[in-house]
Amino acid sequence: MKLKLHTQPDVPFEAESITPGVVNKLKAKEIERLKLFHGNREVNLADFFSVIDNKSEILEVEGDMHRVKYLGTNMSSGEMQINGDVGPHLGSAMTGGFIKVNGNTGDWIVPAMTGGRVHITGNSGHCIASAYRGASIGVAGGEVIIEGNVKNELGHAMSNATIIVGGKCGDFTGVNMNSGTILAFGEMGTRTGAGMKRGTIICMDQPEVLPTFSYDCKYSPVYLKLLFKYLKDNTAIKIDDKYIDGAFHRWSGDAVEMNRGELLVFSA
Amino acid sequence: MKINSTQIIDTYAEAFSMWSAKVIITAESDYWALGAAQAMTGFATSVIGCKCEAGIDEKLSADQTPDGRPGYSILVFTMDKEGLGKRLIERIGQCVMTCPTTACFSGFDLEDSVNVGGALRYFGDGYQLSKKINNERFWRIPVFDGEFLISEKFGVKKSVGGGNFYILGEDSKSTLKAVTDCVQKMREVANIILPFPNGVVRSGSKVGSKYKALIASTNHIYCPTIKGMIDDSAIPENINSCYEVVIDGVSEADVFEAMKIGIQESAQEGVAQITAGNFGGKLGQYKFFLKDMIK
Repeated sequence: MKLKLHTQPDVPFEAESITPGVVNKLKAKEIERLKLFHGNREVNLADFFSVIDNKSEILEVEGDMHRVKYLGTNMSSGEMQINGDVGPHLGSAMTGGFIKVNGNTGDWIVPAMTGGRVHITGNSGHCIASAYRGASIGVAGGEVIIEGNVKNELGHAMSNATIIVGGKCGDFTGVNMNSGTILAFGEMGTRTGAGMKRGTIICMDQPEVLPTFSYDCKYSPVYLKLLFKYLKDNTAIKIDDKYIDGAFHRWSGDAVEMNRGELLVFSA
Repeated sequence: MKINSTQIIDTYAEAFSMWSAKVIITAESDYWALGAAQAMTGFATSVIGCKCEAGIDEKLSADQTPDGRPGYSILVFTMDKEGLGKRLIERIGQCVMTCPTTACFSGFDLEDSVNVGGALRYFGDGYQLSKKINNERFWRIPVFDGEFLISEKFGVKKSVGGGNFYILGEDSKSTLKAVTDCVQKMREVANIILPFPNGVVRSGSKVGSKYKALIASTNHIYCPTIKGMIDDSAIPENINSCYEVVIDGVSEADVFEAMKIGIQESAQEGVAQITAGNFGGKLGQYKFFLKDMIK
């Protein structure tokens, strides 16, 4: 099925019902009558989207959707391909399936995610894969690949998930992280890994290492060879051989917390 | 039935249903990967005395391994799935984790699996780390030269063990040459191992013994030195040497292909007869008829 945005929303548009699990069970006419919120007003999906039955199991959503929020919320299976920019809360609380975004996204992507995969070819905003304010645990699983840049607080209080960033990261990457992996190829902002308990942050750039991290050694983790190979096969992120064959400095931290996290920094 | 001048006896090899796992060992160089592979497949010729049968399946180039380093593919066979998990934990823990720079991965898909890295991780004494790539979990265990990376689970498959044939030659030299050429050719077949030393058995066994404590003893009917003193010798008069080749394979088709290639290669000058071992069809689940090998 294909949904094409024909009218640009004036205010944020909440598209929680647009998931493969919901849409693929319905006929085109039923999809057109799906209820969504345009600001605080309930509208039919057809008021903003054209529904095209392309006989595909993959749900395609097309258009400039930077004001469309909550696409793919609670998604548990199937595949959704988004062609165009998309707004905040994409993949909120998703547990499975695959979302591919050929474009950029807004802030707060995949909050409360526990499984599934999201692949964004462009840039993303603040608080990607982050815990909601006041929550001690954020995303608890899944994989997020962003080929471009992200802003502040990537993976705040995340557990278990894997996040890959092809470009730059803002400040407080992996702040209060519980576990999981963040790999960033570009420049890092300040206070990377502040308050992390466990987990791994891998930086190709030289980040400012907080004084509460202690230096361990320089070595070549075999695990990274596997991860780089996986990314080479599945993304457009350019991975130099120097990373695959190179060595990394390992730092343990954050000592203000459990001191069981690790910061792996490429040794130029 | 004959291939060249070698008589092929109209009989069959009786083989057994076993469980197998494929283990990929990688390391910084071929030298260290081979060291670990040889250690892991040592003392693994027969389930009778070694609890498992293991061997190197093939050498892998860097572009064939999960981490892009040189490696070896190993097959391990046991009679039951639970035992396979135990053998993998013992052998990977003692022979691969201990070897400098190595890592260890499952070579089969995880449709059916046993927990190996998930048990070995406790060697990390709480400092181990787990990582997921594409939904597969790996363990990073701190060791003296960095860390040992291992798949949490290893895929296992129902397989076939104990495919066999016997090469009976006129003299020791020609029989040994035939069996040496034969196993070298058979090693080119994927998904099989020849678990005995250099792929050859000279002490083929039968079930049971006159000594009650033994579950197996020498298959005396193929021993040339006593053919004059026994009534049931299977060795014709002109035969003075005999060797057995045992094949374990991932599938029935793999064992069949290896046996066929091996028998064709063995039929050399000086080899009078090729036959196979069976138990009258009472023990094994698979039969490999030699007449099918000459087609």
